[in-house]
Amino acid sequence: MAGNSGTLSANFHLTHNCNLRCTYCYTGEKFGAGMTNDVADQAVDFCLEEGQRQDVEHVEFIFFGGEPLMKLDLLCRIADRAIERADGRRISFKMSTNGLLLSERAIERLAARDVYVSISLDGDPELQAEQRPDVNGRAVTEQLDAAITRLLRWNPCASVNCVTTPHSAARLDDSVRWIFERGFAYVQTALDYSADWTRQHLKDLSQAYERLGKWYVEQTTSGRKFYLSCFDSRIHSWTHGPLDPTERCFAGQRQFSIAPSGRLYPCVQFVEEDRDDCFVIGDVTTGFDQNKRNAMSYTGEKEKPECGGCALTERCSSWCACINWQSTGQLDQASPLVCEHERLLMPIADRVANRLWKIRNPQFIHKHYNPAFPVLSFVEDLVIHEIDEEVSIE
Amino acid sequence: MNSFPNHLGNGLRVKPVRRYRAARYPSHLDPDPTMFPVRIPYPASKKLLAAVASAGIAASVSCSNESVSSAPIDPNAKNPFTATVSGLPHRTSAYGTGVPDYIDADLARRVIERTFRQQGYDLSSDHRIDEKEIACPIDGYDAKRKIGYVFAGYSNLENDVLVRWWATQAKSGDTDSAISTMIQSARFGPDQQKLSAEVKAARALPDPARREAALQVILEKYSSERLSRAEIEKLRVRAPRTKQFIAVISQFDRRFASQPVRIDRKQLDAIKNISDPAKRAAAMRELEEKASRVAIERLEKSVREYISWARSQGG
Repeated sequence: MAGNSGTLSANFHLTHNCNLRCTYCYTGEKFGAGMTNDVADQAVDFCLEEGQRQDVEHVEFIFFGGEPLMKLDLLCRIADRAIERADGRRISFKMSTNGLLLSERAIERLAARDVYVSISLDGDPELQAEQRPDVNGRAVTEQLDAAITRLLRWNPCASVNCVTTPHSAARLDDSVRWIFERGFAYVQTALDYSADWTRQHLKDLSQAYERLGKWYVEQTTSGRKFYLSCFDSRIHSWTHGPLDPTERCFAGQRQFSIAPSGRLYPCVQFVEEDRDDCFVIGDVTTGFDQNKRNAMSYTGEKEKPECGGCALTERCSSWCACINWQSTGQLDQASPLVCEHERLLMPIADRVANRLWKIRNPQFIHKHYNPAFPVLSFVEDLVIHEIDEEVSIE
Repeated sequence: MNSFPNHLGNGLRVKPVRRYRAARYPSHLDPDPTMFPVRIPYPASKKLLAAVASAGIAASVSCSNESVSSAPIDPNAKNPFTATVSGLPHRTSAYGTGVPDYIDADLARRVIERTFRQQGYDLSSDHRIDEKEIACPIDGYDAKRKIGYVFAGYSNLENDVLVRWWATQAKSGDTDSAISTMIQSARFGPDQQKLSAEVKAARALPDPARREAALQVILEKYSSERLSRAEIEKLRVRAPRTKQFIAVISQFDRRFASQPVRIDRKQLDAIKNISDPAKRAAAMRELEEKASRVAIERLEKSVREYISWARSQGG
């Protein structure tokens, strides 16, 4: 959720509507209200002005929902306006989608604007049907399968957002393996923080992580390149040290969300149906309510006495006010779920890394210590992609 | 509006971790492992390498070790790994202060094997010598060209070459004294309890001849895999005759230990005068890295010298 150093991230909630009914969705009731063109135009101008005011080098536009592809025309309008008015400032576009409306035509329009697509995918078709059915409760296996094929053909580096619920915890390793076998190389895993997790669920999850750890080692030693956030982000917290404060979102400061109405929120979790004033920190027409914005940010950043003396503080994500709120209803209270999760996952991630370090695996070493790795890896993928294309043409 | 979960009701708690075993892979405070202590090249895929090779620049990236380097033989080359030059027998020290950082065994093996490979040798690790006078596993050996090395450290040196500071030296030819030294040396080691129990049982035998024989069996059993002083010497002396060259490279060889004080005394003194602790630590780290680099270069050089000596002896 945090932006990069010098990055301002704006989440555009283009609509409250969605063509799926995921069991864990936190964006509230689904209804037709979408962002109007006027609000969208004002929102773009507001973001670029805020970028200028904060003097960031990069403004990131993230399209969210509901399902943003239900408002593809609006999305393109926003991107075009941002490109037109960027005035030399670096801008980029990202989108988080369920993928169902990812047609060839949609891909063409997204590609023309360089929109990086992340698809939400929890695992194999059976799990998808259980956790991510359509509005009538039916599975969307075939549409999704076709969309995945189209997405990967267009961008082999597309990423996957995989949510783990108590229901799917024991199958996490199978889910992740299925996603990688489907051809993806970048997987972000996250917990459903709003669910009622029990110790048994966490035990199941821990065993799934252990199995996944073995798979991670096998794949890395076989030379496969991939990113799996549950392990890689924790290994990163050791190889790169604690997150630099400038890299954090500070709930509403470096990152904010714009509801379809134009009202501003500190993060995507707070928008819901946009009916509660409690977390509104401004409006694209009138700007930020600085008092409310700062108060939220301050509350989220308060020291957490319950974490005092913890050896994992610098590597833990208990700083994220949005997750804490989602889990406890308090911005400044560390989430018991986050704590339990970090305590079970951190040692597994470290054991995985220890094993790869012990054999001095070059893939592991370059991935985690070579700052040029993403570029080198990208160039390599590009060359191989070209070779494959040539072979397929011949 | 969100309804919040009942984690506390489910028994989940925020519980600070008081003790956590630090990870063994390098942290952000350690030197960059892609460059230090040895450069690890980017692991390009075979597909990419094939494409690069077919583009006609294969020669520049080729690492072929098909043939032995044809460098001229130096008739004056000397064996850099004799026991005397290597500082064997080695006596361990009682205290850490002032003791050099001996080279890491894994790192040393990598450096040694790489140097052999660069000289065109193909070492395998599944070889051992099983002769009447010498019995030990060889860490790396090119069976075709009869050359290799043993990296000698805590796990494979006999008590007469690696003398623990807390152990007395065995009297030559005295089984009981050798057994005592063996027990003392095994302190803190995995064999300690087993060895003590076996020795206790052997010493309890009433018949002196049977007792002596049982102790001899124990000595044989626990030292057969370890290189003794006599074995190291035999390996060296017989090499020109048998044309089998096994370099015994000691982990405790001070040439390959990293000691900043021996690398740059002036710089070390200057570092002591830096008042900012962070800057002082950074400067010290830099000096330590330099020292380690120098140590590794020395090891590489010595292995090359050994190969040169072996060739001058007809290897």
